[in-house]
Amino acid sequence: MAKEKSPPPAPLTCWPVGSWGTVVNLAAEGDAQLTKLLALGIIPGAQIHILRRSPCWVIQIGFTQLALDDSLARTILLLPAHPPGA
Amino acid sequence: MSQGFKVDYGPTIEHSIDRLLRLLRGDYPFHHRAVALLLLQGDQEVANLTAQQEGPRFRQIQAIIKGASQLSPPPASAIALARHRQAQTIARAVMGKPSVRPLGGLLDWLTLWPPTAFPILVLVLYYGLYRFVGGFGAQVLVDFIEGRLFQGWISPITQELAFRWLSPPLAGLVAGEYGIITLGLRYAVGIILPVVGTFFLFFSLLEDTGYLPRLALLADRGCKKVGLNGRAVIPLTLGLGCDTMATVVTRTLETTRERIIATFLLALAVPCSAQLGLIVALLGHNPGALAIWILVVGSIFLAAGHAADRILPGPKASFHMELPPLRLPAMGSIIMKTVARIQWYLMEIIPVFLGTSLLLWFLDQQGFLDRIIHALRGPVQGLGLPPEAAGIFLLGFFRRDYGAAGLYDLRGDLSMSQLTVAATTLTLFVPCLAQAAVMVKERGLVTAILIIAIIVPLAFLVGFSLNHLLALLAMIGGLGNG
Repeated sequence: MAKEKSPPPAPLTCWPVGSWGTVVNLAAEGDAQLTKLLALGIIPGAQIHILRRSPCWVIQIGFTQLALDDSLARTILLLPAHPPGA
Repeated sequence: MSQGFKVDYGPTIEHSIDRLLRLLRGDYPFHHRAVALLLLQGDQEVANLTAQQEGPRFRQIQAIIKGASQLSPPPASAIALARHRQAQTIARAVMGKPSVRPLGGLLDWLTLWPPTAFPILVLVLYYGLYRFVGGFGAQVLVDFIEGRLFQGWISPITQELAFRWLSPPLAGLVAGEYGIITLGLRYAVGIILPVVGTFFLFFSLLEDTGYLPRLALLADRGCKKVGLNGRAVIPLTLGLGCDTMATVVTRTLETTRERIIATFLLALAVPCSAQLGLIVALLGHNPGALAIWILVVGSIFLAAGHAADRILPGPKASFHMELPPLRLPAMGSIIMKTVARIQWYLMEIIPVFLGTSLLLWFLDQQGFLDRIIHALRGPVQGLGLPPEAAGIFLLGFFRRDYGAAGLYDLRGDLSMSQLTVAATTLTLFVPCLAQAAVMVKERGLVTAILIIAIIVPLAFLVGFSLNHLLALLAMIGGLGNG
């Protein structure tokens, strides 16, 4: 995550466990999925910490821990971010 | 208190809200602004209410909603986004930096890290389901309520009174073989209630400790293989208690597709507690037979679920769940939840059992049951079973445990491989009548009939193949036939 030039946003599933990212976009399939993600607090600008990928994706967002499967995690596009306080 | 607080949804959404507010005049349980927002988010229930309340103005209202739905981003997203922004602004003003909890304590981590999480899962299910629900609920409590109270007191007294004071068919309706009290109530209160009650207690405990979402998370990969997601562990494990109730609980699944798959699997390959108890009693002393039963029923579960997943149209199930931190449960809330669920069970499931015994009584009066038993003799002989077993199969439909119990009576005359075939076929064979009734109620008549039309031939086909396979194996290996 020390790259100088900002890389293009990549789906959550491409990031290693432990990384921090900022949600830039949601590539949801259809309104229902989008509404679901938004209701979970996954909105553009939100900071995500990836905690675990197996047996399921587990992310920390604000005070909430969320479990997501591949199909939902894939739709969350992230840019690298610094951990808060770092 | 919240009078002065308003989220600003931005000019385009606010404009649509204003236009709607000019048309809304009806009487609603909440503010007109809230009604307008729900309408813009596509809430169908509120739309129906508005149609009733606003009469002729509803057409204009619909036009505004339709216009707004063309916006980008769609109103539902824009509204959610605006709310989150507002919430963040408030949170930032009153709170410090969010303290990050990297998977909480050690226990949190152990329940999620696969090498420890799966053994913990097995322990939880073993002690919770097998020992507590299966042992304490299905044996100790059932023996007491059904064995002592019903068989010892309630049924004999009812029979005594009914046959003394009522005409024979009417007495049969109340206290006969298929009587409302001697079958319906005894079944619902004496057999299912203790199992379901202990299950609810265990379930509330899982929920209150925060373990339930972890269970769903761990089961997600497995459930995906049968077209479901982790959430489906709830109805599927519930089915091991009572498939009738579990079928009602498939309501909690998100899509119709998942509900159909879960209903189908529950009817086909999830044995209820009444069946489980008797199958273990029948095959338990022969580990090989029990292993064959588990293997066949398990493979059918996976294969049928996989096939249903391939065949049914619609998007695949996706899974998301909030993971609350693990914590010590609060006894008060566990008891409250358990009591509320038992109340729900009593109101929703008991009428089904009572209605079922009414229908059985009627069919028996018409001599209908005997005719079906006669028709079943052929297929039953195809399984390598004596024709008398036909009655068992029919009763297996009306009362799952009774089918297996009938088998128990016949066990002296049957070889081990015959028992294995019969037990397997009976497990797969149609659900009990109460479950079929709930399937019709929840999924509709057409889907229910379709499911049953798949299950019946499939069960016989599997039984037929298993019979021949076992015969072949016995021939090759000289394996003992019990």
